[in-house]
Amino acid sequence: MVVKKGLQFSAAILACTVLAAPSHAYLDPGTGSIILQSILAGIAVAMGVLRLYWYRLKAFFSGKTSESEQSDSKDAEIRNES
Amino acid sequence: MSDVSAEAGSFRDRRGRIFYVGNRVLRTVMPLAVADFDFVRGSGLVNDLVAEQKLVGETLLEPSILAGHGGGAHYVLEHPRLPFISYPYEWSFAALKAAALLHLDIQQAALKKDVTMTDATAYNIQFVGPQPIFIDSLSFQRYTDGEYWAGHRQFCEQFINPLLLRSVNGIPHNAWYRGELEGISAQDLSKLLPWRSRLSWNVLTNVFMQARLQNNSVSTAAIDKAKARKLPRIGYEQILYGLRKWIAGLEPKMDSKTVWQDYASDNSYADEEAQNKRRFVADFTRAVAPKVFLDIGCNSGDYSIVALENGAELAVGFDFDHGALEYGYRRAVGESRNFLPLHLDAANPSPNQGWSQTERKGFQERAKGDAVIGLALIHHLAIAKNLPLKEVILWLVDMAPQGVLEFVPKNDAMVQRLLQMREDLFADYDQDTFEKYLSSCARIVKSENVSASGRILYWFDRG
Repeated sequence: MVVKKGLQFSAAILACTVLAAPSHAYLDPGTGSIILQSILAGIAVAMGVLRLYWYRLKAFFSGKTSESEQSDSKDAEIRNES
Repeated sequence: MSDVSAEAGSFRDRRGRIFYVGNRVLRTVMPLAVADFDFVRGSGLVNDLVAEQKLVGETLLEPSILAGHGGGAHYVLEHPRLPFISYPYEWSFAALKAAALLHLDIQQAALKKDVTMTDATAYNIQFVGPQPIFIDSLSFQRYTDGEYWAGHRQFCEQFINPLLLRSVNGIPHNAWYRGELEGISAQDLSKLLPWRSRLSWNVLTNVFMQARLQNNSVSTAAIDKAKARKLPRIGYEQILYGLRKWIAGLEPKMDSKTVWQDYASDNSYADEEAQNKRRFVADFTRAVAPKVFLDIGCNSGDYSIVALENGAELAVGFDFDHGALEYGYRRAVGESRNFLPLHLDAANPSPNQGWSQTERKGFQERAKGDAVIGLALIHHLAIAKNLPLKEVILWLVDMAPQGVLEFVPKNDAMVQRLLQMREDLFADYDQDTFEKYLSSCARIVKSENVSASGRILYWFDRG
């Protein structure tokens, strides 16, 4: 269920986005790279959401608030998964 | 100003280009790039990176200095001139990996300051000794929330795929890279990697999936859909972090018989011949005090290190053996030596190539030093590769006004081994002829017999 919610959340984030303003890019990023990045980003967001639930679960058992758990591991948020 | 010339390799990005005024290196910043330039400098990123020696320094000059040449530049910057220019197809695996990690470190630091990079070309990185440094100070622009990493594909082609070729298949990247110039495509590499490499998530996504998605069969609708999405910042950060962690762990695939220690010269300190050579090179270096010391046939850099210990500022070594280069690079990093070992096939050095055949300069144009040595080298070229002895000597003498060359006589065990399986066609390969050829283009300052077999070192001066 957590996974489902995570995916819904990431889908929502992706869905409510609009075209990014083109910058002065002189490089063709390539269709493969762009589609791949959009897939990887979806996974990254889903992982982020999973982690959020994980902290909440940990907080529930440790008695700490989920917010303080999260700020404790703010750095780890990006670094834990690759 | 009459002696202004534009750098032939600096034309892709219309936001500015490099000019040389005499010995100075100047960069124009065109009006198109000014908003990004001001934002990036305002963010403090450039100062931070320069202070950490990750980015080449810059000083703002009066744009009038390039009047008539800069084509309406808004700013003109001056960069310090780098002592030696090298290309990714000359780097060892460890050097290419260090360059890849530097690129990612800069991207990560940039993103924290709302800055991103316009490209990910390996040619934007140079080496000072074994330390990589980023040289394109116009590769930065303001980050727009949700934007994709424009340089991802280029990063894969110019860094990841060449590293994988060596790491997974055991094939050094140099020859392929030199042929393609822009790196190795995911489509090509995906045909070469073994099936089991798909088990790695990073290889599966960055090589196999990207190759598949790059394929023309992807529908326009799918492309539009991907373009319409944004890349959330956390996704961007994750991609960079994941790649950095992965690349940091890549190592060259080793032949089961090769170990780095085989390249360590464990007998060189005891060996009398090596002692004599070290002393000769030390005396020579102290007398010449070269800024740039070229070591052709450097192996893992023993004599470059002697030169550095005796007053040379930078040693650039060249060798054919990928294992020796790998060991030499690791050694330079480990011992903090200002030594950069590069790949060179002396019988086929890097040519002038790229657009208009001026974009990337050939070895001969760049290999100019204050001193050059060619030890235990000439017999390999003249005998094993059949290169004319006189031309080999001229080629080496042309690289620096002073140098040391070694003559290895035919009765030496090394030469005997080269001649073991073939006819001796080398009538002019003897000491007298060697001296005659060397004297025709330089003065012999000093010579010394350094071994029982009659190996002779010649210190020449063509100044």
